[in-house]
Amino acid sequence: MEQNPVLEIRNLSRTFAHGAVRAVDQIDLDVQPGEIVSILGPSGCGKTTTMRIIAGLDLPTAGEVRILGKNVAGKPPHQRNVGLVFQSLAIFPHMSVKQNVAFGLRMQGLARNLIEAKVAKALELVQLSPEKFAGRRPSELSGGQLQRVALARTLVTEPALVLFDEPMAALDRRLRDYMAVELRSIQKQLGLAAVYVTHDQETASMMSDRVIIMNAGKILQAGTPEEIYETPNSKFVSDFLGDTNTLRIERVLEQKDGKSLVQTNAGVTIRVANSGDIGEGAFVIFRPEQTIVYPADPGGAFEGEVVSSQFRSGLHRWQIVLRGGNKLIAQSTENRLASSAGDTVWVTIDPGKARIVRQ
Amino acid sequence: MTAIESSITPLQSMENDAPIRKPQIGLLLIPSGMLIGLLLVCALVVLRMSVGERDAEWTGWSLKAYVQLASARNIGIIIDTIWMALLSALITTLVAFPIALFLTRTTSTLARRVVLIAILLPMIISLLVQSFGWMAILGPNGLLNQAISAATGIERPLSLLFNRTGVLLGLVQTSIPLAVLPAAAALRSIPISLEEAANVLGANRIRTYRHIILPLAWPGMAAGAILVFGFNTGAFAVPLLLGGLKVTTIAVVIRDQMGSLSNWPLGAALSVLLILLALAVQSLNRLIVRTNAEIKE
Repeated sequence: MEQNPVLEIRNLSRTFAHGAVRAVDQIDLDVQPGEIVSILGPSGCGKTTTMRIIAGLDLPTAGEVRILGKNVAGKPPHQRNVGLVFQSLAIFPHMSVKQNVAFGLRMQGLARNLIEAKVAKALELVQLSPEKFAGRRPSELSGGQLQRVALARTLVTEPALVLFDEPMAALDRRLRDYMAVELRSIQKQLGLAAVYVTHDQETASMMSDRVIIMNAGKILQAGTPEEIYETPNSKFVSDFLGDTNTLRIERVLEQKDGKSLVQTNAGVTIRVANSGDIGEGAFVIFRPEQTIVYPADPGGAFEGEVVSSQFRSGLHRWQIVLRGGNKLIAQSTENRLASSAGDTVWVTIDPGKARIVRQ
Repeated sequence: MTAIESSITPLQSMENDAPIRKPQIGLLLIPSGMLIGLLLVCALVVLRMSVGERDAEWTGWSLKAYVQLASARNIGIIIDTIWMALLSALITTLVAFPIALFLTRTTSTLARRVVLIAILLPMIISLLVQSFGWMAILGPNGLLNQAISAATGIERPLSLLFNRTGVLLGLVQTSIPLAVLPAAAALRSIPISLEEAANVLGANRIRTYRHIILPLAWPGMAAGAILVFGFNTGAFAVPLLLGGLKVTTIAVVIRDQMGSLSNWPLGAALSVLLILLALAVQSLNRLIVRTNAEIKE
């Protein structure tokens, strides 16, 4: 059975300063039941504005937002059946944990004993023991615990759609990863539909069924995290999702069966996994782990010099400057070089992974 | 912490990371300390006079002044004074809230500046001048009565001067800045995201104010109300000019006793009462601070 999307955004725009600034520029977006979609982009790309418009905290200048098939234009936030976990968490400082979580239910006018039961269940869901935490003041909680309270407070009202505005930005990496995994499992368990707004591509990749990359108010690419990482459609998207090596294309030598052979400005020809109409300013892009570094020339490789090398979390990385002056990052799980700064090395690129993209 | 205190409390890190060579910050208080010390001596002199004999304030000992203070007439005046201070504190706080809200919410710098200057005017202009201004407006043939009788045909429709209404109006108007500034400081410290969170959680505007904004702004509003109450228990110029002979306050009686009637002990006893009132109000303030200390980290 075909299910209807929880959220449908059609042709949404939000301009400021009488149209001079296009914060959100004609975007379309669907969120299916049980799906987390991340909106990923640099600050000022329009992702937060989009989220605020969905919540009703900001109004669009054009376009339509539908929640569960109903146009919500003109509906204030408290009538939209969405939940929002704020970047600042926005825990009410004058209320206990229990009062915070119960707030939405009180506004719905539920009976006291029903509220009690739901609050206890919500606190258990986010792994805060109700006996221990219900009576606590927000000032007595750690950052991770506040995070859980904010989540419980939003989930307890069972909104049709949950919006996350980078709620984990303030946590350190380890806790953030842990919370992301946990949030993901809660979302699966409840079958929540959610929009997760962030500039942190790692969290977005861990959390989402689909990722949408935004820049300057426009959606650049949408797809699963793997799709976007493996087949970015622009240099911007590739740069935004982790480390990328970029070589400018001088000439396309051959295009056949959806593959290409190109001459780069590094002086070497490369086989790449896609083809396309390449105008001015096209690039070959590939990831650091899509390279192989050799201490001796294997033939058809780039020659370069190691500038520096690091070892981090089981990965060896080398910064290499090619003969033509291009900088490159190579990465491997094994230390196949044992080389240090100043050594000459040769680099090949996995032809099944390298891609050509426009600027 | 009250809004006033939190705005002047140093950053936590400044307290913890004390520099190796501590500057002698106590020196900063010497000039004002000397003045306040002098004032304390005066207060002690007043205390001594209140238990002295009339015409022998420095040598005699007597509680006669306090017996006189407890006379029916004086008790009436004391209750009157406290009642009007209380009422003016309440009204001023209610009037101040929307002004404070406007000051914190307006995006127009010009509007904020203009309103702020208008709010601060009572502190800049002499109380005497302001009271005379009210007399011109409220008097039997004042602007207000003329306007109303022109509109309705009733002659001298309202009696606003030389009664409590006039005094209250004057007290409220002259103490508005005392209530607006702490309330605005408290409102400014409430992040807009709390309001938005309440909104998304299903609270409409009225409920957001009731459950979020007012509880969080309350310490600042209370601090303002206490300031207004303290300020108005000692009010002199406003009740003297707008109350005429009908409405008398403690401060006016003190002037009469120490001036024309030269009953220094009674005047001193009333002054002691005023000082005690001020101290009581201050400790009330501390109480509010303590109950709210846990709210604002």
